[in-house]
Amino acid sequence: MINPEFSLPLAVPLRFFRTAPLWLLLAGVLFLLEPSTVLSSRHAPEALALTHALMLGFAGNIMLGALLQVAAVVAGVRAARAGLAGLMVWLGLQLGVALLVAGLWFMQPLLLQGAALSLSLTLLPLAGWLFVRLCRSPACDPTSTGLAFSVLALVTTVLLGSALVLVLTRGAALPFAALLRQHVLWGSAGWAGMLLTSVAVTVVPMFLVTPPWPAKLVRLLVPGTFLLLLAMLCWPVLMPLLVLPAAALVLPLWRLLQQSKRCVDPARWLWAWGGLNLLLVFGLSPWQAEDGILDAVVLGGQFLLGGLLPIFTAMLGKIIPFLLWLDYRRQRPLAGPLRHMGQLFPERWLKYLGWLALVAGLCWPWGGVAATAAGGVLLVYALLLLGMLRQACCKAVAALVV
Amino acid sequence: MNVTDLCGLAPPEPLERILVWLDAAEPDEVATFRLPHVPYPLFDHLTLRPCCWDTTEQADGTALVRIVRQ
Repeated sequence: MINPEFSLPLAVPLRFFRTAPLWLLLAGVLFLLEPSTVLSSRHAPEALALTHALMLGFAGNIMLGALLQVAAVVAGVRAARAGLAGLMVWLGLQLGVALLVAGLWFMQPLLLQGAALSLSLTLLPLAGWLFVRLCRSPACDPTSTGLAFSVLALVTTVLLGSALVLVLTRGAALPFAALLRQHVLWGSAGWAGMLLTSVAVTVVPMFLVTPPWPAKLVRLLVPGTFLLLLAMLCWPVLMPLLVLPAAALVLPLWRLLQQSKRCVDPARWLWAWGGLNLLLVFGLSPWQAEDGILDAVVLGGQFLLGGLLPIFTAMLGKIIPFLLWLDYRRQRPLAGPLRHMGQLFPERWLKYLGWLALVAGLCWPWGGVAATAAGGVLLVYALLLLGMLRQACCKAVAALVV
Repeated sequence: MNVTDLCGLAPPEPLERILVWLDAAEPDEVATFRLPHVPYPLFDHLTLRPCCWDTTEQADGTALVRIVRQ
């Protein structure tokens, strides 16, 4: 008999998911305050602050919520006092991101050091615990293995980020440009890319009712990406090869989406559009230029707005109503008025968010007024997402009292 | 062994079908379900009901869940 206490308390992942749009809202506001400065250089403090509000605040909250939830569902990894532990991680992450965004925007050493401390003290112990538990889990599926590798990438990203803070605030004698390149690589292709791949292996067939991924590919893809990133620590010249894992993810993904039994589900084309942008960004990144379509700000923004935003939208539109339904069904064992997830998060909501994500991804690469429009779209998207999440939670509560 | 394959259904349909079967089953009735992976979230729901179950993970990643109504 398997230990039955595997599900996380609903509040643990939901807290991360509901906080994410607030960071997106802040990112939109920050961008609209200084659009030309943000677009001018990837090294501008405002651009760095905005990048971290998006990558750590928005994407980071969703990724941590998904990591904890998927590790519990797929590998049975759950802390003894999951509610309290989840709250501590959430608090540490929000404090760290707030300090980091403020520290970068105002270039304040004390704030940056506080951010590095808060994020290291939060994320490193969490990553260590998760890695050990994932390795000890009886589950040996590609998602569980992939989560363990992505956790290692998270550790590397945090350590590299902390080293960068030391260089910026204490003048530590470390190679800044090399550290920065590796920090970006491990954060995007490592932590985000490997986590996304691991989660996609489970959620795409599950929610979009597709055939399973090719078995050999999903066993090798994440470990292969990890080895490639390790090799790039020594030989950065290998960077053009990063397009290979991206293609190995996106090309089979498109084929699976074509075979999905949920033909009209908007999540299908959100995954497809996000995949296309990830492939383009990883394909073009080695040939970065000072301006134009190959500018680092354009490519970085496209990774976030064109790649991650639509895919995370698709994930949130499925995972959140599923979690709410699970919780509802636990509290109400006999079947009640809530029969399917569409009652909590209608597909038309996903369609609205999808259109906004599409507009943001299409506007961003053209810079100037178009990019500013993308910033405005982010505000609308964040407000809509906040409202939708709140409404979905209210509907779940209301169904309990019917 | 008669196995109900729930792999092709979108969530929460597989869990809902198992719970609906269990709530209607007679004591000692047995059913086996195939799911895309070990359904950990289901187990919390099963503990709320008079039943016992075991799970076997298959080589292809799917899981067989055998449930006995008590």
